[in-house]
Amino acid sequence: MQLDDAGGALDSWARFCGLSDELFGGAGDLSAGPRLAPVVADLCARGLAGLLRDHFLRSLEGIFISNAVKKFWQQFHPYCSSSAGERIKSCVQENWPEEILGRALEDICLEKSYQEKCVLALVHCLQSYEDRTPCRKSKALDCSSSLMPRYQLMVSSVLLTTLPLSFPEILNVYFKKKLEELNILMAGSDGNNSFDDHDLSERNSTSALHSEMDIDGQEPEISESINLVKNIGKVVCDLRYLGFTSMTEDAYSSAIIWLLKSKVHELAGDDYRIPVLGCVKKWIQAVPLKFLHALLTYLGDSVDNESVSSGLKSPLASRPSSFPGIGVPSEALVRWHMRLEYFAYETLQDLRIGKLFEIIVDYPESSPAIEDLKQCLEYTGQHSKLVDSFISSLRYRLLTAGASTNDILHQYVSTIKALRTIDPTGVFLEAVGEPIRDYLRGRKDTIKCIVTMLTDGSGGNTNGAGNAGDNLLEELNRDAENQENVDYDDHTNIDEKQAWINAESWEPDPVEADPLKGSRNRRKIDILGLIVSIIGSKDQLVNEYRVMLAEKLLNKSDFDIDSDIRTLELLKIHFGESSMQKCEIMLNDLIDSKRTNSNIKTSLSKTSQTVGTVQEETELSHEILDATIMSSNFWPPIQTEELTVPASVDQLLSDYAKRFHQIKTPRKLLWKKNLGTVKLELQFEDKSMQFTVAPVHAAIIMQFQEKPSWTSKTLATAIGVPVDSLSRRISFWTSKGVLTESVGPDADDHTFTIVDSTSDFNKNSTVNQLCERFQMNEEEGESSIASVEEQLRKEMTVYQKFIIGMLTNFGSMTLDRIHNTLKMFCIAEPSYDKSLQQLQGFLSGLVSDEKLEMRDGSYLLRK
Amino acid sequence: MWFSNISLVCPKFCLAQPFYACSSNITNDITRRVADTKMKVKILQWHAVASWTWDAQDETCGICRMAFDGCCPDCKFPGDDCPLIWGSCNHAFHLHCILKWVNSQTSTPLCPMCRREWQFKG
Repeated sequence: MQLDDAGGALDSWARFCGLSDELFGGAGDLSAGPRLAPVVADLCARGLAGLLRDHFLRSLEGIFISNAVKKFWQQFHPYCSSSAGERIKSCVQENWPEEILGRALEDICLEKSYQEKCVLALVHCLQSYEDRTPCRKSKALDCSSSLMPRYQLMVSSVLLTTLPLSFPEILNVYFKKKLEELNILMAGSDGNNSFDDHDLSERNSTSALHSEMDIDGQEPEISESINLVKNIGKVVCDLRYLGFTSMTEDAYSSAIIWLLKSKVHELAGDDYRIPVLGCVKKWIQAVPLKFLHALLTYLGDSVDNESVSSGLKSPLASRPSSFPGIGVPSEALVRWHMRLEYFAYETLQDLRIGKLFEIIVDYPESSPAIEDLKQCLEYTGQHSKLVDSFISSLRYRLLTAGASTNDILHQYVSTIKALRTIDPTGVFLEAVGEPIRDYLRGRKDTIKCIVTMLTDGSGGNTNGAGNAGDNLLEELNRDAENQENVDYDDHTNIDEKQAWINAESWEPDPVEADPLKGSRNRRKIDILGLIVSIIGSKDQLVNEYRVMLAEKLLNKSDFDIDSDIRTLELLKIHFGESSMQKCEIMLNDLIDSKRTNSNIKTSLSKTSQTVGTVQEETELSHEILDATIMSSNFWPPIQTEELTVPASVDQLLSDYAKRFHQIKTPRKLLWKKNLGTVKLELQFEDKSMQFTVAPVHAAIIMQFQEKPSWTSKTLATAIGVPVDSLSRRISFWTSKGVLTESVGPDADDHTFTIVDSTSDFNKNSTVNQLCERFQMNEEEGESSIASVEEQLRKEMTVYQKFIIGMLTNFGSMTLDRIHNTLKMFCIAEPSYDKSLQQLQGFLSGLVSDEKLEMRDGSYLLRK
Repeated sequence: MWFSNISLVCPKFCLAQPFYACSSNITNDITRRVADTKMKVKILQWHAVASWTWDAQDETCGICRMAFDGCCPDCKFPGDDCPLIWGSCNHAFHLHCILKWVNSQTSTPLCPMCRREWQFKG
């Protein structure tokens, strides 16, 4: 009807523009609103509703930008311009973001709410027009109802497009600071209450819940914290109102997580002796969850969620979790709880995994940390992370040339023990242990160290690093106790078939079984088995043990072998009786020797009593002589060396041997004169000293009874040893200050003189006690048993002729070919049974002796 | 050298008596010096090591081919537990080995080595 009335339309438009400007600039005065209605109705009737709306919004936008947005960002300007580092610093130091953010938000929200009112006014006008024209209702309804969302969208898009880059950061800093404040407050109130009330967490949380009623003088901290939460809530509200919902959530959740992280780090630290997981969990409920609860309640979310959650529950929330004080938790809170706990687990796990090496180093003390880690891993399932990081730290810190084999073995044992608690199935242990095993296989003294650990428990570690937890002997003991009803073969070498049968016959632990003992027995990871698997075969280990045992037994001055018998029994359980047979014979020899010894001695003393006269001449009583009589076939090869013992002792020995022959006809004794121990006392005019030495030392010093001064050559002849070994041995006495050495006329013929007078003695020896006892150190006492390598070299020497013959015929040969040829042709006694590695070792020995040459991987004779 | 000198001076003593006991008798010179030193060694305990052997003139038992100083295949411990026995023909075997052999023969047992009649050496 009025469609072509262009003039009227222009007129109405102009009036509309004027009125809307008046409205915008009204500064709180909305009186222009009602007057707008007829104009709007007129324009709508002309079909200009869309145009009208667009114009309205655009002018609002312009005003919003110029009035509010610029001012708003200007507040943060100093922080946006400076560099990131300074910005954070200034934010942390100064107090401003908290206040300024609050104030700026208030301002801009005021502006926005005013503009909203304007929009509402227009919406009213539009609605009233629509009410009057029902025919176009559907289309116009769109018009009016979409106005408000469009405005909201406009506001947030304006803000987001003008957003300075650092704004999220500022929000983050803000929340961090606020949360820290809150944390301190909570901690303070916790600390105060803990003195008088055990249910402090409950009380705190109830008070936090019923925030409004609780503002009384008795708990100022609580009310303060409530105010704080309120303040934060207001800021969050404002930010949401401006359309920063997701950014805000990001900011406060990252702040919470940051706080959680720092809390975990603070609690966990570098102390592995106390469990921290419980504390962290408690803290999560005490601080961040309470904060979130208060915040969500303030924002009104939890109420919404509660009504929703009854019908539509998240699977995550299915776990009935009750929080102290926070009656029925809303779903959002449950989600938060899960999230925070997961994050705490993950943080702690990462922290512990990073320090796993140290944790395992002090394993038995650090078991709480291991327990924590175990729980974390159960929750997060990131075992592979542990394996990777631990292996790399092992490579970097343990498996290096600088680490002693003992340390590596101790660490390996601790690792086994620690990982056994984390993962009883042993899958990850397998992965972690592999590099250690590989490395240890490359070390020469591995076997020796293992055997030492097995036998004396302390692992030969003199500096005290080997503590009781690493005691392999103890492990043996435990094995023996645990295995009473288990088949021995069951775990020493399970072949695949057996493993399959075991797997098939697996049954879950009975319900009533003691979970500690039962499961451990069944899923026990056998430490010894793992250690032995480093070496590859138990035979090597047993052989090394035999050598060490022989060494130990031969250096004994009594027959006390109880501990060795115990060890042997344990080893027998583990390695089987047959492989320990020779060791058993060795120990049996000692027992027999003890018996024979006392037997011979009593019979000897009887005869000496009857004869009577011999005693005076020899001066030495038979009482002083003890003998270890061994079945030499079963002992490892023994290094024999000629030694002429003093005649008096020689007399004793032959008497003894004669007696033995009488008692045990037709058996005979063959003395190994260089072996054994001698306890003697050097008597000077004014003092005496006791020593425990090897026979050769005794023979040397006894020569000085007759003549105070000897040249090394004459002395060597007298005691029947080569000069070079004599000068090695005699240094024991010079180092003790009993003898002095001086270079004689001949350069390599030194003269040794007994230090006779006391004054001389004092000069030479600082120790001056009436009776001193010296024990030979291990370096001084020489090994009487050929070591395993020496044995091997001896055995290989047989083949040297073959090898040299072969090389003469063939020119040059590779290692493989030599090995195979030997295997093929050396079948007669002694048949060739060495491994490729052993052959290689022998050949390289020949190369260093300049008998062979090695070129391009093949060996040839040296010309 | 020194030793041989002394032997020339007083061979009787040196052969019959322990070393230091004879030393004071050798020469004046030495006696004086011994008096000077006054160091005496008193042996409190001499723990020696020896091995035993059956002294059988042969290495291994002709029946079980194990060392005489070892033990027969049925035994665990050598020595008293597994003794050696000599026949009248002077051949030695592990007691357990020859007993087994003797008991297994239906007719008069023969020595496995020389085929003479086996009799235990009294």
